[in-house]
Amino acid sequence: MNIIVCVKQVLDPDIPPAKFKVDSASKQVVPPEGIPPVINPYDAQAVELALRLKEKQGGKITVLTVGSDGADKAVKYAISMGADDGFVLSDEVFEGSDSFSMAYILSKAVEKIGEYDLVLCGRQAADWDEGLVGSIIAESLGTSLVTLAEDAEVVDEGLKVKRVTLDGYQAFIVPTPAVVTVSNEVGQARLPSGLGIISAARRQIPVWKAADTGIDPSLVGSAAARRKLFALSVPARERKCEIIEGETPAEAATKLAERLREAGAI
Amino acid sequence: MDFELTEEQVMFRDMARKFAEQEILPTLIQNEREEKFDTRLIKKMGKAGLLAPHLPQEYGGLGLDYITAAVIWEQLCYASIAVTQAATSGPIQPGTNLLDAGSEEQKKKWLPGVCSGDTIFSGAVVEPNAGSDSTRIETMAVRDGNNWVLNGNKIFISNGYEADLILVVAQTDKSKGAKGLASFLVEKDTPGYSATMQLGRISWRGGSEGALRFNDCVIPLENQVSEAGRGLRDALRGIDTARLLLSIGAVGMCQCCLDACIKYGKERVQFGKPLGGHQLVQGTIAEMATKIEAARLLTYRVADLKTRGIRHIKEMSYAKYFATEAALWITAEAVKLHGSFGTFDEYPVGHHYQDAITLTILGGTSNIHQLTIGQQLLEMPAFTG
Repeated sequence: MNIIVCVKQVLDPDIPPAKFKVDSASKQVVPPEGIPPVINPYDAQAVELALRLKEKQGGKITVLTVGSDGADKAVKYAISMGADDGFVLSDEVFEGSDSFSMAYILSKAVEKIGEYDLVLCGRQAADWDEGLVGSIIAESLGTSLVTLAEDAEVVDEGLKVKRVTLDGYQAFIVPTPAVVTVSNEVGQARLPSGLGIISAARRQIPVWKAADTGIDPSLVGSAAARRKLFALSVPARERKCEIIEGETPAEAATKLAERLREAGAI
Repeated sequence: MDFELTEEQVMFRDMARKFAEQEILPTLIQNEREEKFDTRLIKKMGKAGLLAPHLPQEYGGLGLDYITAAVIWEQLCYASIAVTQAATSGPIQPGTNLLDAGSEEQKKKWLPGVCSGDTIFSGAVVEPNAGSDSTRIETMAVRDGNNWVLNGNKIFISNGYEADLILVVAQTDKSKGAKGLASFLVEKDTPGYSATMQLGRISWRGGSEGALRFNDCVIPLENQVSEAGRGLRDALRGIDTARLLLSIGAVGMCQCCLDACIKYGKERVQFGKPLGGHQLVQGTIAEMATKIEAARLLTYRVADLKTRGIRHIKEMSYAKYFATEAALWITAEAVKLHGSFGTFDEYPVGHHYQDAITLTILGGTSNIHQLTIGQQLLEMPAFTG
């Protein structure tokens, strides 16, 4: 089974809140000094599902990412987990692309790779939490789509996917090739292995520019974006302490509950 | 001189830190309270490829240089030096020894299992009457036809109780002193061999130490690793690697303490401002950070020499002595900075403080390393008249 996994680098979700800053003028997040971006955790879980499928079915896992300097680290991370190969899609014309353009860029790379049974994406990126790219890739490629997968297995008819719902799961059987977005319920992504790191770190990850995959530059970048970001700011949070007193603990508790209700907290 | 870590080293650093967070920290406090080392960790580390970064790939290791190994060990010891040492002691001490001194047949037979974690390997040198002075080893190995017969006792042996395989340094001729010492592989099921756990430690409670007994323990001739006269010298090659672990382990535990102090120093408010705003605290933090950086660089320096096969006796003692004595001071200051909170094991500084004293003893005491440095610089014997 040939699997393509789309991954993205994001700001490390574990950074202390104090390190998170945005530049409201340029409407961009300011990368925290000394803290490199990491592979999107949901994408690492997509790699995990790909590895489980490969362990059962055999095949090849290819990783794709869109980015500029340092984007190869996300691909290398996936290879250190056990993926076989990977490519970075990088071009100045990609700057400012929105989710539609990103999905178009990735779809063109998938088409260039050619033989694939399954495209996996994380359910969303941990930076903007939009969760759009996977679905749009399916639309672009004209394949079947299942979102929010917690598990998948190969069956005679194609792929059986368990999809997470609020109170359980749905089971779908879809023909391949298919696009599946992977939810965190798939479980913890494995850590890289020692030999995997050696293999990944010593490898040169090929870079594909727009022309390499036949991308139409007018369909990518900020000029092609279908939506504009109007403002970006960190919400100001005010904290103040109010001491609730009472003659007895029960009275204090009652007053506390009333006060919380007044404030709309309960 | 390039002081930047390579991409590969950064990847190993990050992976080792995550491994420690996922596999060591969740059970650390409870295991320390129960003075227990969970040997399942050895297999997990073997599967991750973290057990023997320094041993060649052909025997199941990763074949990495010693700086990269040190980068990995620092991150594991950030969580716990005692647990890391217990888990890795087999590949590190007797593993290095077997690699250097063993026959090809012995290496092929045993090292892959040691690197994967399937075989728990212990190195047995220390005895009740032979600590720093290994020439006083009393365990005897007597040739009897096609066998060796071992009799004697060993103590403070890492994973001694759990070991599947033990590399034992024993005396073949009392009259020859160090020149009579040889080494032998003993499998745990060998009749005449027994082991007990040594409990009641005030330090290193996350690790494991055992006492071994050899009572007419018969092993075949092919189990001899080092011939008479080379037993101690070959064992020291493994101990040299262990010293590197202990030096960088001290750095890891101290870095953890420093990070905890910086965090606490920003959060804890006393006398109207954060602790970190008080100049005495800033002075302590600065002293900690400077010592850590110095210890790390001393250790990287000796790791580089060791990788290149350059003689490094003095440099190893610089690193081991400085890093472990620094750890004693830094961990104590870290506990003091945390006040009474620091004396509880929920805070990371507490268990590092407990372990620091053992660091100054294992792998040669601080006094031994001072003597080694002095002897090297003065070119005068320090251990004998």
